[in-house]
Amino acid sequence: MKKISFLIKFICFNLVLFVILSGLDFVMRNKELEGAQDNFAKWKPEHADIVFVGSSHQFCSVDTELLFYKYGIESYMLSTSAQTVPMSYYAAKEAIELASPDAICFEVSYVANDIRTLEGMDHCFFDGFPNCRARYEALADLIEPEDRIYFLLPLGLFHSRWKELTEADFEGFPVTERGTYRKYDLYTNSDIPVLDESETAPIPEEMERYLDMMVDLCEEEGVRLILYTAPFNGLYPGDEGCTEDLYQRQRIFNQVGVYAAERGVEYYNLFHAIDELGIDNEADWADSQHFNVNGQFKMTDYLAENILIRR
Amino acid sequence: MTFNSLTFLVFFPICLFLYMVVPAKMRVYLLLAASIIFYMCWNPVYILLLLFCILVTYSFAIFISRAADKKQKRILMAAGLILNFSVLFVFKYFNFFGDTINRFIPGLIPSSDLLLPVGISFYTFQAVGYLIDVYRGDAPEKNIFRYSLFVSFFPQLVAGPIERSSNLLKRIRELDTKGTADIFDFRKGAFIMLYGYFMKMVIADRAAILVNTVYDPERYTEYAGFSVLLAAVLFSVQIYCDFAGYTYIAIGAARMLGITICENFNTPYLSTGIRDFWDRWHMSLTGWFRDYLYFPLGGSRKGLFRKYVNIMIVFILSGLWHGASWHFVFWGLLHGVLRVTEEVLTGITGRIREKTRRIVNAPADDISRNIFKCIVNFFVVTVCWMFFRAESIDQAFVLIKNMFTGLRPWQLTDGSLLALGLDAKEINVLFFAGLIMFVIDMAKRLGRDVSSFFAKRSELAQSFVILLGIVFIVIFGVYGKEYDAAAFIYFQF
Repeated sequence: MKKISFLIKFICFNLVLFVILSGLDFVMRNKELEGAQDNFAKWKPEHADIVFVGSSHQFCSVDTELLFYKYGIESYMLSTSAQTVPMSYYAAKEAIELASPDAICFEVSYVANDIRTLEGMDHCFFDGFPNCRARYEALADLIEPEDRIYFLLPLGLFHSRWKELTEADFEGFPVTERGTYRKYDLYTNSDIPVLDESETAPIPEEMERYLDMMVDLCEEEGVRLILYTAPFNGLYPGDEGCTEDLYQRQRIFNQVGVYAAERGVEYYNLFHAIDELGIDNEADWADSQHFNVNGQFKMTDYLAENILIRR
Repeated sequence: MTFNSLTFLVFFPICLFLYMVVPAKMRVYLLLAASIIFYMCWNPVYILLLLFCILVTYSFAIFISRAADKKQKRILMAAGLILNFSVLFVFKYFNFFGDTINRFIPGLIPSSDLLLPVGISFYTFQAVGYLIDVYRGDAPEKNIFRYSLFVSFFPQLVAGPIERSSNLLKRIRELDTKGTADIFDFRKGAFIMLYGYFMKMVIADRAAILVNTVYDPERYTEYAGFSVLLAAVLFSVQIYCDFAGYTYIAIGAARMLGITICENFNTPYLSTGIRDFWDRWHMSLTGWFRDYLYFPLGGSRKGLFRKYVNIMIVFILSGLWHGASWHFVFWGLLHGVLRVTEEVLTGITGRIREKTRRIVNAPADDISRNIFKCIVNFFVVTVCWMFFRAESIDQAFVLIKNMFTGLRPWQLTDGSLLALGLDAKEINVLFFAGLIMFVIDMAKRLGRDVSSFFAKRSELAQSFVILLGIVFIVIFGVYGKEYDAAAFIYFQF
């Protein structure tokens, strides 16, 4: 009897501890960065049309609110900062598992970055990731075994967060309807140098493998896959090294076109549609690489009218 | 696997649960298996050294007990000691020895790239202590599993306390018959463990950030005055909280298993002199040197001069035990000199003080005098620690010189102390946590057992304190991915 009583008390104590630590985990999280992933589990539309995956280029290019209210497209922005191609594959998997969308729209500019994960930014993707099979598959595939514990129990990473807590940290994740994220900064960009479509360079092998996996996944699930590249300038426009880097990326983006044609997938390289987009370098950029809300609206209109809505 | 790693936080509850449910006769085997797994988590190959130490001391103890006469016993004991200390020499002191010789005859001794096995000094001393006890007449342990557990018991395997067979081995022998920890021991153990984690993760590892900045071998010359003084004081705090924190976790974990292991610290910074300090700091090592070295050397029985020589030998070897480097030896030498000086002065000043006291009719035990002595002693010990922490004797001298010559009052207000790795918020946490520790140490000094006081409260109060402690450590502890969990200072010894 004594042992049973001890056991019950022990279990109760651990339950209380679990609740407290969960609360602490919630308070300590970086809510600004993890909002899109965290809110996805709560997004329960009657019918999901599109889920967008990709890096910051994606969420700075598409406004899912505008898509809904102007075009009636029910979509969600599941892209996160520095979301690599392997991560986007698992985001697509997560989208299919949790929301069964008609289409996955993948902004592929990270295909030129031959990386699986980006140290320090992985938590933007993983910490808010809802509990589903895709989350654990992604962890097993992308994160080193000794580091996985920090993704399962991110509390272990927050040892200096107590210094920067504000009232907002106790209120919860900012509600981002359909994952929308808007930048309101203003940057005067210069003209984006664009290479001819015929110039190509190989897609990094590992990135092509994940592209293959994404294409296969969408085929198996009967989901339309839309690939596109949003235009952007070099990190330091005018700098020779940056321009060459941008050219090299564009060669890879052009090669994605070749790849898409071979695999029978839709691909739109919008570096070759800058004029049609009507981008104003004085008003539409938040920085040299990302659109602000003006550019985002123009991109959204273009994508909706020319690509997303099938004619 | 360190106590503050997530691996241990999974390992220990599993071990505790299994320990509670297995039949009493299986407990020794379970704890032995757990201890082997615990040690192998560092370097699986080095388990062979631990096994060697166990087998040598186990078999030599039996040979000694069966030896026909005292001479044979002595030869066997000497052989056992040589074998054990040879391993210690090869793995810990070979490069130190070689480097020293090579300074005089360059290139004579090749350097060894063997890694220092974790805790080798601790388990070697524990096993050697047992061997000497058997030589002196204690009965040897015949059950090799029990003996192996005595040497390798995981809570105290890698950083002590250095246990005696009269305590730990006796308790291990009772595992088959006595029950596991009762609820009182269990809670007391949990509280002690939590306090250990608090000392290590909230205080020691936070203080280490500032200390590492100032002692940085590339930049230490840039710091002077209060910056160095603060780093020196914080290193005193760090090493205490690091080592005592480890010991408390070890004592608490063992207590939760129903095994009481010896105390290793008794409020050392509230001591009033060097002798008092060493009676309170790393007590198990001090006791080991006293019983197995100082007394056999003659202790104080062979005259005053021999007594001082013996003290110096003990302290120099104690310095060498702490690390194979001359700055550790110098640190030991310094303590030896201070200890002898204190011994000499106590006799002289004691007589003067007694006469003065009678004249002015002052009380024999004056609290303000004791507080003053505590402060002076802390400062002296802190300066000595600078030789311990520095990378070399030269670095320590430069820092001490800069500390005294660079004292500028505006350092206290111009923000330079906040540019050493700890901002104002961190300093506040450190101060508040240090205050908690000071209050607990004071209570202990006044004879109050805080853990027993805690274990006697209502279950609700205990749960509240433990939950509060865990939350405090989780929020304010220094840990996580970039943090090196293997950095318990005393593991390297």
